[in-house]
Amino acid sequence: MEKIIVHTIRITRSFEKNLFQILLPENAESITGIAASCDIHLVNVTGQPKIQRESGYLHLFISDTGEKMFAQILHASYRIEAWEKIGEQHLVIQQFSWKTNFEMLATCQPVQNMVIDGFYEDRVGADVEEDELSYNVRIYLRLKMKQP
Amino acid sequence: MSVKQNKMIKEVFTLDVDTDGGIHKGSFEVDKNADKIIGIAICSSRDDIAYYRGAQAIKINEEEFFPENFETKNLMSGLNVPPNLRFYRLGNIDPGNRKVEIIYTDSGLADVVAFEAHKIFLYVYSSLAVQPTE
Repeated sequence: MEKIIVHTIRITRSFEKNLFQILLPENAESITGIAASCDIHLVNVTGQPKIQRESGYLHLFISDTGEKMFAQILHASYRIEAWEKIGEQHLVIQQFSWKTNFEMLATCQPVQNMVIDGFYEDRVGADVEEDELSYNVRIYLRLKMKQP
Repeated sequence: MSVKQNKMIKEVFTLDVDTDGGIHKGSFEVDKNADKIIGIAICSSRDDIAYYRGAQAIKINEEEFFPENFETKNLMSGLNVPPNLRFYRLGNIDPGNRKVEIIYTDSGLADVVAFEAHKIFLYVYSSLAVQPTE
């Protein structure tokens, strides 16, 4: 039996360094998948190239040993305009790049301790006014649960 | 509304989202002829709002398959996905009491797209129970 848990971190300050802990359910046996995303979106200026922008660095550690189990550079995505015109048809954004079958990075990390330590460092801050910065980082963990 | 074809039942449940930043709950029952629930998909009358602002929890038979804050965009699909793959496969799960519950949360963050009242469509695909032949 599998279970997905979501841990959300809210970032509100430039270059914020956020230490957090994720509490796992007691009957979790192993971590079978990890994914992370952030909901910061940039507005593309017409004529300007879309540069891949880092939004921050995420690290996850095994709590008792301190070993790093996951690291990812999260990227801000460009906001897609709600409507795009192709030929005579107006198509909604839904019709371009999204996919179903949300996939996580497959892992097989046995759960020895019910806590995972995490660290997130914001990198957006340099280009954004401090009072404007506000976004969420979501960490998805897929767990294999012990049989009842 | 449900369609039965090729031993698969496709049902659509609609949830109205009419308040900015609110939590909206809906509870539905899958068809009584459904044997196993195969997968789900989510669409919206305003895909951009659901994509950027939505998150939901989904429970089937009182069991939580997607937790709160699970972003709606992870369950949506685009035109580049073949039509017969546009749903999230849950595996063959037992519908139990046949109750499907969705708790949809609008983030209330207007920095990307402003709120408008819209509908969320939850598609549930299930296999048809085989009727014994005499």
